[in-house]
Amino acid sequence: MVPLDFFAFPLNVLLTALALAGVVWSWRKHRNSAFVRFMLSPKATFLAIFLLLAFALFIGLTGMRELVRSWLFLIVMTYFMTVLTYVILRGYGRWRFMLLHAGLLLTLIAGYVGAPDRSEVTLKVFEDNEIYERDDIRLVDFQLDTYENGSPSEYRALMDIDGREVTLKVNHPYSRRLGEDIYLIGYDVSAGAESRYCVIQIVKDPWKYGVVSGIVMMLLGALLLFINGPRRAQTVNDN
Amino acid sequence: MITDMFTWDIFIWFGISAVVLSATGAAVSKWRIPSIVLTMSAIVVMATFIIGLWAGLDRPPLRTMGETRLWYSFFALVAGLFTYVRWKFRWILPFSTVLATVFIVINILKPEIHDQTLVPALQSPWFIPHVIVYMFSYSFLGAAFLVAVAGLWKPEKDMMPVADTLVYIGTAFLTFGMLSGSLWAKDAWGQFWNWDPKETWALVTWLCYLAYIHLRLIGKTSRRLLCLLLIFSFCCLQMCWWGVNYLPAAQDSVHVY
Repeated sequence: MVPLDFFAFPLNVLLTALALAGVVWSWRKHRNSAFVRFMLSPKATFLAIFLLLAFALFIGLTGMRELVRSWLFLIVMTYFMTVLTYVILRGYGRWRFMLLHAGLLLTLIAGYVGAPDRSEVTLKVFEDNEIYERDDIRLVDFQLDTYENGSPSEYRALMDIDGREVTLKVNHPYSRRLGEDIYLIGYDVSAGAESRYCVIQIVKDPWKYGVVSGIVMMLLGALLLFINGPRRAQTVNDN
Repeated sequence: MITDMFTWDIFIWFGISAVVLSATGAAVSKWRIPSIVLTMSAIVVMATFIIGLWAGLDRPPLRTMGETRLWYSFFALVAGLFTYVRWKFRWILPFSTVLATVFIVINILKPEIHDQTLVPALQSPWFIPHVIVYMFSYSFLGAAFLVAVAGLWKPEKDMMPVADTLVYIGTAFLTFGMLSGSLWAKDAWGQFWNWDPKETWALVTWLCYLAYIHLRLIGKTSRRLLCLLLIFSFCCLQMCWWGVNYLPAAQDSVHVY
């Protein structure tokens, strides 16, 4: 398994910067080398898609999702992102192509390379702070609405976070500071509305802005895919 | 209230009317205008039931498998009509009718009526666009699947340009669905991507269609292989849609409803 802590900031940023610089350098200086020509060949693209597909298919069939932390997956992802970078350098300037490919690269870098910098802490926060001693996060009140059949329709935790009154709900995290969000994820189900604690998760993910930007780019690219459809399908050979 | 009428109990009448209208539209496909009007009427009948059910349930009918099948049969008719109007393919109408009929019949026999509750995680502005976009995509990729089967059947005719357009539309909406899902997941669970079985199969499906698009851009792959790839991709799509519910490896999925 890949040691996540080892690859945390600054090593992940350093290695990615080096790799990107290497790709740009080889693209500029050694465009006709066998390596660069391979990376830009259709074969390299299909191999990249095929490897990722095979990996996802294997995880889908076996449920072994821990494999995404393996060295093998690191190699597959590195290869995929490298091919993608070369292709982006060559295809630079075409809108739809750039939004889709650069958006994907940005999403992968922020999501995968940034993964070691992501942390989550799960906390049980009690009313009146009786068990968990912490003064920055306190539970003021817990409320639960149910449907007629008794299943929960909505639950809210009124909290005091850093001296500010905050209402936490599922699907409505509280943005505490840049790259840090607090999620309400549970309560004492056996006690229902009488629950004296709630379960929260503090997620630190400084790379999330990169992921969202990449996703927005891909969404715009997909919109162009829908509007413009397959153009010049047979004649374009450099895609 | 009128909307209280719209329950699964009366779906049989809407379902049968839609099937009859669509089948008649397919039968008269030689005459363009009557065929379009009849298929449109079938679409309107389905839309009326969906809107009525929505109002009657007090929540969008997007949660149970029965409800997603309802949308699928609706969009299958839309995709069929689109293909007929745009390329004048008469054969697509009987096929899209059959596709819609299969799902309508399943819903008449086994609507899987659940209670009206929506768990808190599903109460999000992402919920409606996420599911509708996926159902729309699935129906266009279903049409592409039919084109691929037809392509294997009659290899002398080049259907690939038609398949391309359907795949581009389907893949664009597949992308909307997957990415909206990942933005929603960040809001709900704090993580964009968690390799949940449904997510993993959504990625498999997406990559299959990406492979198809890229193979077509190079333009050197045989039609037979391309058709087989589209058929394989559609099988992965079915796996993602409902197959994962039966997969032993996927029993802890957060997407099993």
